[in-house]
Amino acid sequence: MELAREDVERAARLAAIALDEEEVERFRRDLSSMVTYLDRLLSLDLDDVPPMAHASAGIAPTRSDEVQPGLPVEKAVANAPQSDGPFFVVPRIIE
Amino acid sequence: MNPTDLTLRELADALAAGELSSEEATRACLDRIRATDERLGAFLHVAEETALARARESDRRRREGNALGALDGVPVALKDNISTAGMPTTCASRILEGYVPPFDATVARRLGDAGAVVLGKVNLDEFAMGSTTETSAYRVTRNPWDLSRSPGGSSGGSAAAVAARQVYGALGTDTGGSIRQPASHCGVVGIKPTYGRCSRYGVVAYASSLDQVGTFGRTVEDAAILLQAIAGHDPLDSTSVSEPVPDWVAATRGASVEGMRLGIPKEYFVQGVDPEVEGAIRAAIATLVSLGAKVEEISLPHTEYAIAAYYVVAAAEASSNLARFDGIRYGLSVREGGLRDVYLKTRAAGFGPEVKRRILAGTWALSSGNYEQYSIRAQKVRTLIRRDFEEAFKRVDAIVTPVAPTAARRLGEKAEDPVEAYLADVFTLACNLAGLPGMSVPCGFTSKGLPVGMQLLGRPMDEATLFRVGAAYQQATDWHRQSPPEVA
Repeated sequence: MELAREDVERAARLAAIALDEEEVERFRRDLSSMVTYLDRLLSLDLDDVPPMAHASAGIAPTRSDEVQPGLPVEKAVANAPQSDGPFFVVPRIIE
Repeated sequence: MNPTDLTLRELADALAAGELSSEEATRACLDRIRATDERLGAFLHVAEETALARARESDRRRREGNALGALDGVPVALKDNISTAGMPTTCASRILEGYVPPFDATVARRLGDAGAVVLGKVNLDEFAMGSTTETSAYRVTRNPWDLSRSPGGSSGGSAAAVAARQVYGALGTDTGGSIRQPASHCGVVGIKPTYGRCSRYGVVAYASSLDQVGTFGRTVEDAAILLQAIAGHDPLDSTSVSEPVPDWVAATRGASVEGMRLGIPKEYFVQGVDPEVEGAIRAAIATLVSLGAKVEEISLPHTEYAIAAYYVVAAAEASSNLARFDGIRYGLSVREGGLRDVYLKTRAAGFGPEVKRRILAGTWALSSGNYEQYSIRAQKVRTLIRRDFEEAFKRVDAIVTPVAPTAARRLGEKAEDPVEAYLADVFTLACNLAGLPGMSVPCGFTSKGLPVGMQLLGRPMDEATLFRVGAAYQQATDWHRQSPPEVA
């Protein structure tokens, strides 16, 4: 299946990645080739097959609901490109 | 004899006997990294000072009679998608340049608790997405057996470092073959345990329903010693299983395949497999038969759908997992315009082409209109692949296959079409989709002197059988005793 440039631009918008013109065309070609390959999935009769989301060998164990020490704030913000005390600084989002 | 020529087990014995100190072994590894890594390119970060300090601590413990076990004082390396407190963790991506985690991954902490000396962090394909380590944003890693070739990937740095005797063992991660394939291409042992065997807390996620941590060693026993130290339930990872960890190291001692039933899936011996690779695998199977194993042909009929199912599942999960890299809390940040612009520009500048391709493919597969058609169908095919293995394991104890259709590729020999590159992963992906343990064991060389690995697949939670088969094979062969000539 051939994808349109709009398909790539929509995915890029949803994934929040800015693409230039050349990238849109390159990824359109790449994804078209991938989707063509994926079409073999469409030939199987899967009506009675349940989907499998993960391969866990057991049931996820539970733990008691107790307060545990977490990451101290100063460590949590230590890698931030911009921080102010215990806060991450982001561009203004409400004018 | 140079200490770096020892296996991990031999080093552990030498340390215990007082013939060698951890500091001497650590210095020997650091010297070797200095002498070889400009050519090899395995390391992204060498932690010389902390490694030497930890080596001296280990030597002190030993002098005082408080040695911790086989790994105490043993130099190792970690794939750079495993978080290490105070040591950079980049995932070989520009978007994490300069990031220093505030905590250790559980597997890193457990190695530390066992006394292992972490020499540094090794290269990978960006976010573990690739099969050649060439999508790394930082450097090219070369195959120690032929420097014009790739070590495989995505854990190429781990495999190359162990093969080149820079370290005694290493950790990697495997989402679709990223431990087994580079192990095969570099002539070392690599094991991906059962999904859930090792904690992934602090391991940067690629595809969470497939990712698993595993180990590299020069021998099956070395890989077992490392896995023994990191496996087991972790309250910080709800997908890690609570089943007890068996004594795998004991399983490797005096191992036998007498009476064991091994399955040979006909779908894995098909056109496209290099005749030299197939020849090496067939010869290895013959060796296992001569050691008492019984072999029978089996069928895994949905193998041909594994690649398609894998790439939908992996891309979809990657598109979700990598949403966290937004330029706000850590890593690269392009601060231009409003918040939305920061996201768009940071991710455009920080991710390389292969990562963008998979995020876009995953976003496409999850978007309305495509979700039922592709994502749900891929998950249903996953069920069929799992059932194929369940049927097979009613008849056999383990499955033997090639790891990859060819030996290591030349660097830069990239397929124009991404699908063509993905086809090289055909023999390793199904194991992750089904959540099984899988191991690569060196079993020969091509006429060009490139290593070939045999893949062993086992029932869920039955790594012990893989360790037995692998160790029995290594007792009878010496492929794993060969040293790469290019970095001698």
